[in-house]
Amino acid sequence: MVDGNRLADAANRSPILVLGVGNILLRDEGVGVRVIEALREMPLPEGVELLDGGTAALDLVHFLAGRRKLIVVDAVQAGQEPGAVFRFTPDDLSWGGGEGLSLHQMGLLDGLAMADLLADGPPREVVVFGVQPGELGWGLDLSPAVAAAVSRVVRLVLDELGAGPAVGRLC
Amino acid sequence: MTDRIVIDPLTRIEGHLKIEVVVEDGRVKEARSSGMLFRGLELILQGRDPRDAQRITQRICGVCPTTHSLASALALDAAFGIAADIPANGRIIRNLIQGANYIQSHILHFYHLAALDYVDVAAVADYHGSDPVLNSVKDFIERGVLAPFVPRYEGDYRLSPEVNRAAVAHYVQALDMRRLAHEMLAVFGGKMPHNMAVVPGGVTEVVTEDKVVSFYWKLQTLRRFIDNVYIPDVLAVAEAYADYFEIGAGCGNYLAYGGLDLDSHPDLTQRQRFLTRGTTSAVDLTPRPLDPERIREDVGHSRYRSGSGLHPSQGQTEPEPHKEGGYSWIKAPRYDGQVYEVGPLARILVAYAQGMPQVRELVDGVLAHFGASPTALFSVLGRHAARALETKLVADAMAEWVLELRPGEPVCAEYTLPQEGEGMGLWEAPRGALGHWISIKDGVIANYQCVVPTTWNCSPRDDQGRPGPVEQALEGTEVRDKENPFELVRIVRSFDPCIACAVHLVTPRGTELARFRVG
Repeated sequence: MVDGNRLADAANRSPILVLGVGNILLRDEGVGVRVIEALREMPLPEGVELLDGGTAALDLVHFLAGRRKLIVVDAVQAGQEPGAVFRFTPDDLSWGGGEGLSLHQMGLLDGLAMADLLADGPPREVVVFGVQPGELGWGLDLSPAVAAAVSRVVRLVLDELGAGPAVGRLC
Repeated sequence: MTDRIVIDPLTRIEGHLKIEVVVEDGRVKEARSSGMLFRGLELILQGRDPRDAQRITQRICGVCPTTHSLASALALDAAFGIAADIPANGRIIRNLIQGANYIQSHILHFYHLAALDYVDVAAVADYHGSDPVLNSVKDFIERGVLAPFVPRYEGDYRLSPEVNRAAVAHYVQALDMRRLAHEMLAVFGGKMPHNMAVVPGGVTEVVTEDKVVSFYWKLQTLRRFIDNVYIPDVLAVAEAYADYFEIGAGCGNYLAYGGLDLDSHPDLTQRQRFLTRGTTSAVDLTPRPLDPERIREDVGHSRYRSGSGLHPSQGQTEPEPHKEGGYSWIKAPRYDGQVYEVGPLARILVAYAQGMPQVRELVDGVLAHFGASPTALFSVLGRHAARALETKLVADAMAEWVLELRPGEPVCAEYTLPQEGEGMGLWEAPRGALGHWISIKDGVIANYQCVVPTTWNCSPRDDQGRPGPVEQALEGTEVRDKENPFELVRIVRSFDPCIACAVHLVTPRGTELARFRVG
């Protein structure tokens, strides 16, 4: 496995990136990073990089560009019970704009849009796994419901990568 | 006639900051800057291993993790009693990591956050030439993908079509330059975006000839961009918008902790630093020494019930969300009882007042170019110019420092964890003075406080009712078109605000997510 946090030249870049984003200081907000930490302990197929993106937004642009596939894991406000997991693509959703939607929340999408301007282009396919958070106060630990969701998301990511037995989808 | 204008969020992508102004008869009568996120980091750190502070504080902010890692390391150096033992390689590599961060951050600020208030990206829709970069932006806009370019106002775009097009092409080129600066940082910083190389005592990454060469050549490319593209673009914007040399002056007091160490004196306040330490004022540009004991944080208008007017080392963080008269989660830091601006302009003015020759030469050159006096520096454009000149100063110095590294020699001092200790880490983030304060009791963190640059610049009123620097810069400003208040965003953005940070939860709108549920 290649460690995505070591910035590789475009030519040496793995075709698939699994990116976890979020702030680990705000409990469930950091679930994406926690999933990456769990994935580091798992055997992964060739050509897959893991990246702990933390709360960096625009600084991630160059990590996204030129990938065949990008899998994002993030906390997502879906109005469901804590720990609920969703799989969607950016095209599935209306991201809106204007009032009520902080541009800060758009960081990742801005990153994708900016990657569009670079010579090696945006990722050709983007899949997002979202986890409904419960607790967003200051603290390093996940709430029990979201902690329990981490292993489910790990399984789903592995399936998405074609590494697991459940779904035979090859990337 | 009275209008209320709210700009929220204002930092174009980064941060949670709200600016509310009351405009009366076309002028800002009152401005209020408020931060939206409760500062609770201190609560996480209490009771933990002191070394954790260095890893955890990096996560405060998605924009400035590098700077927090350094301020924290300095505080731990002092608390562990090893501040005098940092080997030369360790000191230099810390400076190179921070320098790379200044370069990428300042380029980001100008091209990707601020320039869009002056450069009309939409005008590229009329482009009919063959430049592949401009055509890619044109294609981008035609597809309606405007995300990185909004919010934007309509009207006051003054650059000629040629200058405008060149600036748009440079916007894209600057993305590649930021990548290069990140790669350069990673040569010695290891992992990005959260570097693992900076530790108490120095750094972990050893020096090899290969790394020195790799760093040096990346830096040379960046220096060419800074000299031939970045600084000329800032000057081109300044020529077209010269009235912004007279707008947004602010409080007129400037403070710098200093950064980029030139020695390892055990007392931070005695260290020689490339970015010098001190204060000065717009009234006389006289250099004054900095005494960190004179820093206090007021919470009279902040949503905390804990004590007001405390030194950060004694700081407390007890929230009171509905406090009467409280309108911000940001505290109000003050120095010697006065309001102070921090950031590149403050650093450049402090160095200018102290007579630092390279700074004098560069600043006087720009002033001569515009036939302006130093008072022009206390302005929106003064901040942009200071940021660009600082980028050059730092990049030029880094080219000398990297060649002073000695392969095979140590990069880090050894230490044993103390049971008791106190430490102060004063440093400069790209956007201004950053301070960390730690106290250790029984081998664990008893208290940890961070005062970040934007708390200085975007602070609310203090206990005496005096507005913060951004609030002062806005008040009195003429707003020509209240539907497109260019003056206000240009003033605020010139400070490069960034509020620590980062609930960035994805919140899609108008769509039922439940149908995508998989677990």
